[in-house]
Amino acid sequence: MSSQQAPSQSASRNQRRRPWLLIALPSLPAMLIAVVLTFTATNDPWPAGMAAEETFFTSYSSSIKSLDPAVSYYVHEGEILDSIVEMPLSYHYLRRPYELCPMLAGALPVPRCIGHDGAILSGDPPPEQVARVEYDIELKRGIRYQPHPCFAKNSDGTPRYRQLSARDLKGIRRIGDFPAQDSRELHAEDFKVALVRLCDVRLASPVYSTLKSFILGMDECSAHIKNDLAVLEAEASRAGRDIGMYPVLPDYRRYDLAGLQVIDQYRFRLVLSRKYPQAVYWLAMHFFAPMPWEALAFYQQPAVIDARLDIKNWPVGTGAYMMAECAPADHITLVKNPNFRHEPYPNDGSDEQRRNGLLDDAGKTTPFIKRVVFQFEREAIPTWIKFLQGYYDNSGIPNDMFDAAVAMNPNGELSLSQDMIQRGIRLNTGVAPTIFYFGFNMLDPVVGGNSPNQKKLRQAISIALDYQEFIDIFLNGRGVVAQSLIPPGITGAPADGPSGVNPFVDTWNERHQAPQRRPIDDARKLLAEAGYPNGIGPDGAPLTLYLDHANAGQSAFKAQFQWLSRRFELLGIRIQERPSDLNRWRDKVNTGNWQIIFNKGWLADYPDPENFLFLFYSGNGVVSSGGRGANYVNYSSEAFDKVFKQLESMADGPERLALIQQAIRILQEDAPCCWGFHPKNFILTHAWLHNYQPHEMGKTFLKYRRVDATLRRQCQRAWNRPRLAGIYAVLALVAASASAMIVRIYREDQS
Amino acid sequence: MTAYLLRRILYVIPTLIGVNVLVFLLFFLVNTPDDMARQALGDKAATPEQVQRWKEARGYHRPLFINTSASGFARFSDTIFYQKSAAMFWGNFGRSDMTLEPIGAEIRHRIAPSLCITVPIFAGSLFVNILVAMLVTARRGRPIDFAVQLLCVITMSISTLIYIIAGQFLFAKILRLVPVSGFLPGRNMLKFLVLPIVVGIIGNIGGGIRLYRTLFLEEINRDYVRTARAKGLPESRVLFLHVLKNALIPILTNVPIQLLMLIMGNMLLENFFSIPGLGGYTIMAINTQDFAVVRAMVFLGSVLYLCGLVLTDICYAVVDPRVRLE
Repeated sequence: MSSQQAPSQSASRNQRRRPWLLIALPSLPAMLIAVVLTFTATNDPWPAGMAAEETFFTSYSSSIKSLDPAVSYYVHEGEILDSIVEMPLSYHYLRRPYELCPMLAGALPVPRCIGHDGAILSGDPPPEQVARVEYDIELKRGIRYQPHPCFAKNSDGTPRYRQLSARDLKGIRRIGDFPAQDSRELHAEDFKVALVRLCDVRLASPVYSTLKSFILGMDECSAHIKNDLAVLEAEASRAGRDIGMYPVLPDYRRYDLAGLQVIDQYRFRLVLSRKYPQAVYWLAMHFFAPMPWEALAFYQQPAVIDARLDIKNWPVGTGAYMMAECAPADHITLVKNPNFRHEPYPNDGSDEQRRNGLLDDAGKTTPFIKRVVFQFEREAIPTWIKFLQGYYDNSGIPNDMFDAAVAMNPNGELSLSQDMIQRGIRLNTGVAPTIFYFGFNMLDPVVGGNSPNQKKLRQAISIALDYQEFIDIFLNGRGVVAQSLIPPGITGAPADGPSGVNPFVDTWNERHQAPQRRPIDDARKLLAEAGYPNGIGPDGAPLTLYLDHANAGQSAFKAQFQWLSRRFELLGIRIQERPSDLNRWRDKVNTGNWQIIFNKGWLADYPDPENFLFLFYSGNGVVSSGGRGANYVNYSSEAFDKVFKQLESMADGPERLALIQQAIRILQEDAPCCWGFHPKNFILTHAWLHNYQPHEMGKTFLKYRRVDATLRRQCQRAWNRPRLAGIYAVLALVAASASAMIVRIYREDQS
Repeated sequence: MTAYLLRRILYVIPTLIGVNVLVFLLFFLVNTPDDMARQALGDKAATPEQVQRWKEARGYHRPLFINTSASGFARFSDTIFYQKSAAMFWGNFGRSDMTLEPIGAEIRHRIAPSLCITVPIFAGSLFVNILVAMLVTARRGRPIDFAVQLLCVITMSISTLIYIIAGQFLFAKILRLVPVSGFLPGRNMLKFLVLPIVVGIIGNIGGGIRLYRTLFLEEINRDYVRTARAKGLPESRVLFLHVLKNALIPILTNVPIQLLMLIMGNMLLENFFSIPGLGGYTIMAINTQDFAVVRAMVFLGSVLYLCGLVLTDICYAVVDPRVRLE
């Protein structure tokens, strides 16, 4: 009897106890979550301790395609690459207008013009007398490359890592993982290797076409390489090498390139096929960065390729930083190059720059920052949140957040909001060397042509398109109305004041001390004189213009098109869309099969007015050159061409400036475009980031920035303390609800 | 069974060939190599000469299907179709048009981060969906059932994008519990994965609960359930032991196809949380018009989907002996 009763009593006890166990069941995970959160919750995205070091944290939002100096052509890539490699020349960090200064070269090169008889021509000879131009460039002594395994040698002097197998590379994921690293001094021949490499058709360098137009012998060199490649690739294929996966490497050192002659270890000569003073600006671009042959030989080994180590992710240079981690889809980390020659911070700047603390570190040895982390952020909002949390040291302003970050002060100027000011955030602005314009197809019978009536029609439309209104509505004020095609900061840009106003479109407002559009009645008058009174054409029908674009379906464009239509309606002109996909739109532009285009842009390669004025030289007409030129509006004017050809090859000076102004005046009168706007970049920086000066041309200035890591850590701690009380309450509520439900089900089961 | 399997596998091959050819035609007839080159180079650098060099560097200078200037097999092999599309059949995905990185290596590199979020989301969603569906099935027709159904409809009506932005705003910005986005390898990874996984599970539960509730309700009216209740089994035992076991058949057969598709990653979550997986890779390729990568991902997706279908058929046969395949 007792043996039968015992289990029954036990079961009964269990039944009585079970509700309490069940009630406790949901509480356990809730308590566990609470404990874990209490001890581990943090929104810090960086590894522990990294923010306390002299590290600069920033982000990029477009994917990195290549960091190969011969190929890379995007601004965000330049920010990284130009901190690793150096060029013969660079831009001065603080001086404005932009000014070139020596970087690897000992001094700015001086052109030597050679006549057709081989004699050196003195002064500034006209281009037709010049057969070629030579620049002798002498390098600074003692410049050394970053530590890299490609320079490592065995005791007998042979390269240590030239016959690598997959087994040798086991466990090696980064260049820094190689146990032996070495360096060598920069040689003039490295520049020849870099330039010859640009001629290799397989690289498809985006600047090859431009460079070959003024550097002697690039075409011949390219053809020579192509012929050799056919032989090399055939041999490699016969030997069983997959040349698609493991490309062959021609020995670039043995090619003759007439445009670059190595004089000795420290000197080389750049030879141009024509007079082209702007060539010096190209010497400040990473396409002219030296390329050590050892690096190419190292990276062409199949085992190295299999280990995903290559020149486009692991560039080798003499710059202030070197690549430490390269995962372009996630992040890129640079560290200080121990072999960098320790250049001093510039010690000359303007009074305003001195007041802003930009000369506090004058003369001190650079670089200041030990490590730079570039994080890939695909979306703007997470980037912005991290910036506000102090995890990024600088940031742009997403459109959606503009009102929260920037406010308009009583003078109508944009300044930081109170919230930003309280956080110690600073606003840095700079006008980009870019122009966006509204273009008329000069081949079109209605809006094109050079007759007085056609000019008046274009001038009338230019007045009606009030770009200040466009900037205020669509760009949150981030732009400057263009008075000509040359942006501020570049020689020849319109002066501030009445003399800089485009008289055909704007007038000077004395009260606001700024240009303003001429009254719309002026435009109506011009339109009537052009033969379209109130927008009615000679045939009695309203004038209808067709806007060709590739923005169909974009909500932002719809709003802009409405604005355009409204502005045109002021003149009685109708405007209709002719949308097409991007490829068809490009075909239309190439064949001249369009009438008006909206917001076509041009970003300068170098800060010389020639880089803008050439957009209107008839020889560059897109249609006449078969798509080779950049004169998208197909403008053709003998008067302009004559002035342009003169100023194109002329050295800077008052005479050239007068010609630039003359060219601008011709364009303003002919109005092949309504000069739209120059965008203004807004960059926010935290209080702990010092020496930040926007520079729209050069990208070599990371070495000048300084971070106060202690202040950053303090701010991050103060701004990011986890708020756990609410979480505890939610967890308790969820646990209680779950317990109640379980008990209810249990009781129903029991009943 | 073997004959059935062979037949199913043989069906896969022509389907894949069809997908391959169709994708090739869509990409190359709508968007010619010249168009690709111009897009990649941009207006500024896209001179006819640069376009030609870009095509030569990537092998797009060849004819599309037949190379009349070649002889023998090279007439077919020295063409864009053979080099860029047919080669995918033997695992050669080629190189990215933009970065020139080998696509196969990139896929292998990115699978792990993708699986780090897709697998927990899949497992977590499955667990929550089954548990909640079972609970509301037990309380069918009562206020809690209506409340959960209403909640499900609401969660299904809200875009995943809203969950992502709201999650980032609430948990990363306001409560400061986790980083808003990012990814670190090793043990640091966890703090970056919690939020996307939670958001992913919340985004999945609406439809999932409703689906499983329907499956369970179908089962709950069957004879064996009535018998179990008549035997005096508690309701929880009836549900979690008998009903769940039988309802698992449609659930399990659905799993293989989903498991394989997990490899492709989650485009939206990876993009917003900056996780370097395959979903983000595909989105990036679309944004940068890297057609070589897009083609490879479309083909890989098709292969995985078809393999998933074959595995589903096998699962049916294994899980439910009543299914006759022969």
